[in-house]
Amino acid sequence: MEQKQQPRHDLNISGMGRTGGGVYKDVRIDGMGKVSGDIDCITFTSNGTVGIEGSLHAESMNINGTAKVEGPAMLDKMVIDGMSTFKDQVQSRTVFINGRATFDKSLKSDTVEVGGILKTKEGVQCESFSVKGHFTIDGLLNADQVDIKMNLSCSAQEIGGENIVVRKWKSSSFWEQLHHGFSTRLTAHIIEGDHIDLEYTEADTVRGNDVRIGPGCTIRLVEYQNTIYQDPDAKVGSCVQI
Amino acid sequence: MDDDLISKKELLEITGISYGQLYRWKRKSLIPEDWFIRKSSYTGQETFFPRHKIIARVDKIINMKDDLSLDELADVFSPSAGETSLRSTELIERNIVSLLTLDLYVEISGQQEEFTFDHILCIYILEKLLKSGELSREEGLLLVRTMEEHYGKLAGKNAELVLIRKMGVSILFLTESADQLYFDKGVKWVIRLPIASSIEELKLKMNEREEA
Repeated sequence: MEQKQQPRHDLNISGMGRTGGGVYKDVRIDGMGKVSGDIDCITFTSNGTVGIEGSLHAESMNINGTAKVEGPAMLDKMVIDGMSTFKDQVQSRTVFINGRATFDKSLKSDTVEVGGILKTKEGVQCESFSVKGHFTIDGLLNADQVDIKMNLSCSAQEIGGENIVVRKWKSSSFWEQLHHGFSTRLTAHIIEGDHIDLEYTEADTVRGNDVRIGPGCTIRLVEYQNTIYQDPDAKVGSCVQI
Repeated sequence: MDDDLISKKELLEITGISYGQLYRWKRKSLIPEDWFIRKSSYTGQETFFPRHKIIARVDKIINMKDDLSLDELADVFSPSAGETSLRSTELIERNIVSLLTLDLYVEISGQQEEFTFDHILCIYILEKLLKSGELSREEGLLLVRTMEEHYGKLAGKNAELVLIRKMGVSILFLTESADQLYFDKGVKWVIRLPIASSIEELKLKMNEREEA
């Protein structure tokens, strides 16, 4: 809407610069930049270090260096190839994290793809959540499709959704061969879903319709409705059909 | 355990929905966050819901989800009034209210360029009650006047519309809850209508037409 009222211009910062924020078309920061207010743009690209003290509104955000956003972020597409920290809520349509991203509040998106490290202090809501790497979610992971391939230990308070699959990505790491304590596993309090397929998971309660408890799992209580499969190499405290 | 709560397990069993659906509806805020009540039970931590509210809500979602997208449903369940305002021609063309009712409304409160959601709600309730034969034209006048003057104070709350009669005299009023009202024997309850349900119906009706 604003586009029609006022023409959007580009903003380029090469070297060191500071801006108060505003409405732009393409924003590009090569070097060090600081935005001391709210910024609304079509594309936001940073190849250096950037700090946004207000909110960020953009169709696409591309971070190749480090970024810190203090205010809430509303995006269409977010690609983090470097490191970023979001202090407030983030809403996007697609999120790709190939570096490391920290969210101090919740993350909402249609799809979340993690190839690096994801850390959130509140919940994550999305339709599809796929990880090849590592994540720590201090809240509820609520997603239709959860596809986890861990290469480091991961954790979430709760996981809920339709299909939940947890696997180890690489068979065994160097550290794991040295000491069993380094072994990669997912830790969660409660896992609930229609189809659950777990490996190397430590959980208090798992509830689902069709449940497969694969090797390396330690689960206190499994409640299932239709089918259950338990690997001989899994430890399950009790298993109840409901 | 509290009688008025239902565990997640029990809810899924009674309604036949799946975990996937429940979590999806939570994501789309079809089920408000504060209905999820966490409690520890002897089997570990469990989630509970207010029994009556959640069962009614789930039934509604199941009935309507074939016709509306989840996002549209989320809008229907939001307690706030819709933002839309419509012209009189649109109201007729989109078959939200009949010309007869609209004319009566205009006669009472004057012609308007555009009708806000609250106005449309008033016309909609007027039509509904006139059609059902519970309300006479004179009482319709009472309804429109009362709604116009006082509905704003109750907007966003679960207001109820009540009409009582005694010896042929009608009294119409709006109240937050009509649960605790007692009259003498000669009084007859004619209408008791929760406004929230009319809001839902109206929103659905307006949505329907937008799609067509």
